[in-house]
Amino acid sequence: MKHLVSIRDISREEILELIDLAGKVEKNPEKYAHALDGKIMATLFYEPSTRTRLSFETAMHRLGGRVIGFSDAKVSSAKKGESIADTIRMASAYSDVIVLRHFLEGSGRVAVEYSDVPVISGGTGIQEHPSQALLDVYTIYKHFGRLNNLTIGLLGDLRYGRTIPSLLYAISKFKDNKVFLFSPPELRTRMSVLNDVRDNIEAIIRQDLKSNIEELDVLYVTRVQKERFPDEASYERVKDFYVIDPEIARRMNKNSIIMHPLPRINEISYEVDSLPQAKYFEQAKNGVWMRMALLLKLIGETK
Amino acid sequence: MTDKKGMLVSKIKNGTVIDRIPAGKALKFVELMGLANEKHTLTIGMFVKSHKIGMKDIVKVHDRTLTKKELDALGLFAPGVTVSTIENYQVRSKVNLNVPDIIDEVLKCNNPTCVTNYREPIKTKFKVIQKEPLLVRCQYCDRVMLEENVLSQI
Ligand SMILES: [Zn+2]
Repeated sequence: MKHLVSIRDISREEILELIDLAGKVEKNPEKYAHALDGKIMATLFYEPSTRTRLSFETAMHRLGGRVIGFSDAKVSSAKKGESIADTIRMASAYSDVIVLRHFLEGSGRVAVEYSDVPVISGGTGIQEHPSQALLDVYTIYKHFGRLNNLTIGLLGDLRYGRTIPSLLYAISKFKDNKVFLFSPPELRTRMSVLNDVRDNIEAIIRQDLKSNIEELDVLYVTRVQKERFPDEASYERVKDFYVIDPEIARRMNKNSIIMHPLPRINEISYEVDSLPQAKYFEQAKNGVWMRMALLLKLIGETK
Repeated sequence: MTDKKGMLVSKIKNGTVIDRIPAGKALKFVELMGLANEKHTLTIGMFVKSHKIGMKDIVKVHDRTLTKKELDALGLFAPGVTVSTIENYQVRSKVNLNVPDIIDEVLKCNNPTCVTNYREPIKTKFKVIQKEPLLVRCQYCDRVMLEENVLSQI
């Protein structure tokens, strides 16, 4: 594993190794506090994503490394029309690893072509968000002790949510998983993504969550954004199907979990936060451990 | 009939013979390859009777060979075409064109937010994921294009 721009590029074994390493780091962070002393991570964020950037930066700082970069394309050279390729060439001359967040699909692959150092995608357009998927499966693994034989419900915007393809690709590396895809028809998972995973995942498309809620081990909630709908009325028509309140959460299995890549707006009500199923804040915390594992694996001395 | 066919194919000294073009498509093909602007001598045979495929077109381009990119485009446009390179009246090589596995440069991605549609020093690359009907996938953005999207570009 030299880069991480798509979960499709990595194997099940590599995912399990990362999970294992993230677990070790979480258990004993002091041991890794100087693992990346003297290394520099460049964060090139062409669209704002405070959460992902802070998570990566925290991970790097906790490993003893340093961070350079920009978090707004308006103040960077991109505004002057510099290509991704040129920016990457420059950044790869200055740093040991690059984290790229870009609004164009395929930008991660361009970065890989022009970088001399490992590239990690922090999200590329609507294509993928691989590090998010890794922290998601780490969270699932920590809770259930396995990544197979699970029933997972994905809810919300499954078409434009960049996390969804990455998560499906990650789940598809494991066996006997059943995935419910709950979304309004306009926001169904893209056909090309479904085709990629259909041999390994039993995928069931549903519009409404309510009839299958008891079956789920994991309910993964994403935000349904008003901007994705042609008009206000069609948004209003569906939006309430996709709000998780305590009543829905209580119908879930005792050992099940509710996840969300955050930030949430109103798709999970605050009263759910105190229920045992609510896992989204721990999930965010797991992001730092997993990103530490990722950095260690890509640029650590011992790997 | 064989005499006529023989004459059409063999009378070229150096260049390329593109044979078994679907009947009636030769002019479209000449346009596609930009051959109408190149001033190489062209010999075009249309609705030539063929024992194997009924009727076909033939195009002979004098003093010119085809690039890999042109062969790929041709394979998409008319799989089954044969391309012979002629040197000094002899057939130097002959290939039966098929839909290629990887298509470089020829196609444009129809995803407006694909990085290949922006000013980057890269060329498009598509993987053929199904030949019949054609499905290709952009190796940058992962967008899958259908046969009609591909053929409308050629
Ligand atoms: Zn593309």
